[in-house]
Amino acid sequence: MRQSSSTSGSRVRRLTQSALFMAGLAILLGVAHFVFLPRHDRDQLWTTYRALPRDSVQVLFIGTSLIHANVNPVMIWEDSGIRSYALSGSEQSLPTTLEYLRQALCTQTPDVVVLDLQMLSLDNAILRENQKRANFTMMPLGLPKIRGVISGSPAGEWTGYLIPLEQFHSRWSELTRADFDPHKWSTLSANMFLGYRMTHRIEPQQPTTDRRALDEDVYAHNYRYISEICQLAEYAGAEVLLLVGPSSRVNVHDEWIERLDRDMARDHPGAELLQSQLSTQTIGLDYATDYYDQWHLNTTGAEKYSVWLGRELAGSYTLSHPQLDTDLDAMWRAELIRYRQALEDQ
Amino acid sequence: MAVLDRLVGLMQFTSVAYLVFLVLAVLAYFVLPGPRTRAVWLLVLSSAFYLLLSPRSFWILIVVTAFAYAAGHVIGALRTEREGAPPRMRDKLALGLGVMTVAGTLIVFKYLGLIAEVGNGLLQTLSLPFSPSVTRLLLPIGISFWTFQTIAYLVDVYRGTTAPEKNPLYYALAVMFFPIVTAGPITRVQNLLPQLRQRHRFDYGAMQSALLLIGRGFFKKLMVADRLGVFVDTVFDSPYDHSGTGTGLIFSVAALFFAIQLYCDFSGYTDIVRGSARLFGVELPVNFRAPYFARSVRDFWRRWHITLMDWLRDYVYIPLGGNRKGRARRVINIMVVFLVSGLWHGAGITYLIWGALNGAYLVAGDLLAEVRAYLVRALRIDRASVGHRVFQTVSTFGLVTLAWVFFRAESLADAAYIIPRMFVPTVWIFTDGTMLEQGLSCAELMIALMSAAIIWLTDWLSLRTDLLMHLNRQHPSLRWAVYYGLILVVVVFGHYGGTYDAAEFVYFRF
Repeated sequence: MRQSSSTSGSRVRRLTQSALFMAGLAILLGVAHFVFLPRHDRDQLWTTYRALPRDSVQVLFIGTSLIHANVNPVMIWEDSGIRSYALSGSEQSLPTTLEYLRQALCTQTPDVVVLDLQMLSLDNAILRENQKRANFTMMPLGLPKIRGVISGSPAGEWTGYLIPLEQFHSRWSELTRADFDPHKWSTLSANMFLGYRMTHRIEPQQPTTDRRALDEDVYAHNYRYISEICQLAEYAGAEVLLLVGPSSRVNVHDEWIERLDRDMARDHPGAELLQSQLSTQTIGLDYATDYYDQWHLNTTGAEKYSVWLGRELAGSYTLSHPQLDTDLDAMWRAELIRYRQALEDQ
Repeated sequence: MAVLDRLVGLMQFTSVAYLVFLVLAVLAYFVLPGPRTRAVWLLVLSSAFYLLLSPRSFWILIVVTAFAYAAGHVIGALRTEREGAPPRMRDKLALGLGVMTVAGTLIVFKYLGLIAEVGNGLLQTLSLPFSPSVTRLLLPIGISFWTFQTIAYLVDVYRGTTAPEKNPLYYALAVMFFPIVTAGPITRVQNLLPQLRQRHRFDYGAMQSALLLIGRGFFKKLMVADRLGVFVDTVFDSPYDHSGTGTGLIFSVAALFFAIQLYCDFSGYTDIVRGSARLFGVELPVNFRAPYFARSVRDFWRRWHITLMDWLRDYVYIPLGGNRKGRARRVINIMVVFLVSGLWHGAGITYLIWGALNGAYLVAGDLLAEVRAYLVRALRIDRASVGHRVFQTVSTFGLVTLAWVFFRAESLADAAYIIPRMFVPTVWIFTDGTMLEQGLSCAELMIALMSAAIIWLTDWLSLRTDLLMHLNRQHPSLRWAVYYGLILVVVVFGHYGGTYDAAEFVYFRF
């Protein structure tokens, strides 16, 4: 009897020791995770989104950098009173965008989902590794992320996307003192506002169009995901707006758009298409002053574009909670103040 | 199959996915009741593991295993008919058929391409208008290991040293057990079976030592082998890029680094799989015993890839007569063993020369034993002195490293180009930046060399004491500090993840 109680005592001691050891290891690896993860303006994309009051977003913008560089939710709110969020990643593939939307719908029920069509004519295989990594890394760990990683990358890379430390531990040679400052880990970026990334640089552009012939395989692959995004949005009770951005270099050729329009009319008749590249004059965009590269608008360009886009949305859709609700709008109001301050600081 | 093809690459021994797989496998193993259920679980895991590594060659492993199981029974039945009596022709025929079928599988998948190339070369030399084309087949992972294990089983059944296994489940598990199926250690079926049948209790101490062993394997592979591999590949993959710049010594450095890389790679792998097996209560044989501390080439081969050398001794050297049939026959037998070893490693002339060179070292060592003894006496050298021992160790290491050049070189022409240049004393390569042009930064190089020094030190200490046991006896605070340090160092400085090109284990190619 005594022997049995001493055995069970020793077992409890060892179990406690093991648990303590694992807890210590988790803390150690957690600290390493924060130290090694590179700091980017866009790190707060999902943390800010998840901090929004539940069901407060009326319009959700998803897609590529053409969203987070061109669409300024702060300006849309100020001009049209629409609470929106720009939830996008650079060169984000459509399968990843689908998973972004799936994750986004866990906490918000937008009235309209606006999908940027930049990726319609792009082959996923040519996506840059670092962009793919950044887009996956930003996502909170959950089923959508796991699904996105599995569908969007080879098996050997899965754990690297799910455990960012595996991807970024090699930064040991470039760490600076700032990486060890816990304060930096939680500070809001001065350039990010509800998903919009502010850029002041001006680079005059010449409008051009890529003559890209319709590639059946690429189209079929991408259309499948656009269709799934539409289905998911419709299932969540949202209307879908497909948006072609106002880039000076348009790479979504007419042939692709016409085909998409036909297919969407057949499969998702409720979805609308907005080709903003055809309205640059109406918007008031100036190729000499409103762009920072051939794809993206700078701060002034984004302001003009966002105001126009907000009015288009307000005129076309009936949005829930249209009046300014003090509680729901608090975040947008606070971000507007921060945005004005940031403009003044420039 | 398409789903499996997508999953290829997930299950590397040094991946996070493998660690997760291992944790879940161990937890379920100790929850399941009875050895038979646990064996089924291990077989399912092992099959899944092999499918994830090489889905298209899984069926070959299954067919060979099923054949060997049946062949073992036939051979066993024939031998028990006349127990104790000398083997009859049909006994020998049954064994011959069994061994030839298994060896034939190895030959078809591994050597057919080489045989066709040699054959075509001969036909061209004879100017015959006939050139058969043979497609090189996909080499099933671990085929050299599990075919050798299977051959050993059939021979042992024939010799009567082991009984044919009755239960196909246990036999299949002994061959396909996931820690050993890819690259050994070549474990005798009769050593595995009793361990697989036993009901293992969860042993905290065994778990601790197993995890330490796995950690040591990760350290060797990710801190040293894969890092030095970058340097070695840069030099050996394009040796002619290093010509005419007075950088001859870079080849010596690359050969030295390759010696370290190969040891850390293979012994690191062995540590990981021995640790993995120990988690399930299975003790696998030791494969390395501080080989670079060997004081002769013969001693080296007693410490390097021990399970392969044991296999060659038991199933090639001794059946050929060993050292019982005179000096000339002994020399021939040694050369045969090392030529087989060379060919086993790879279907190429460079591997054959590597094997022949090692055989020649051993033969020369034997033939010159008396001359060496005379010199030691004449020069009054104290054999027990530190100086003499260091000289022996360093010279053995030098000879072995020279032979590794053939093992690593892409072709015989490359090896012939590299070896003479290794001895050109271009010492300025250490100061003129040449060392840093081989794919590794100064910091990376320092980490690799410091880690190699730690391994060298622990190997040296392991000759005197059981380091893991010694560590387990220390105060928990010290042990934990070592564990945390080891994990953190590997996690942070290890050569793995997105920005590094993770290399597969060198011996997976064999």
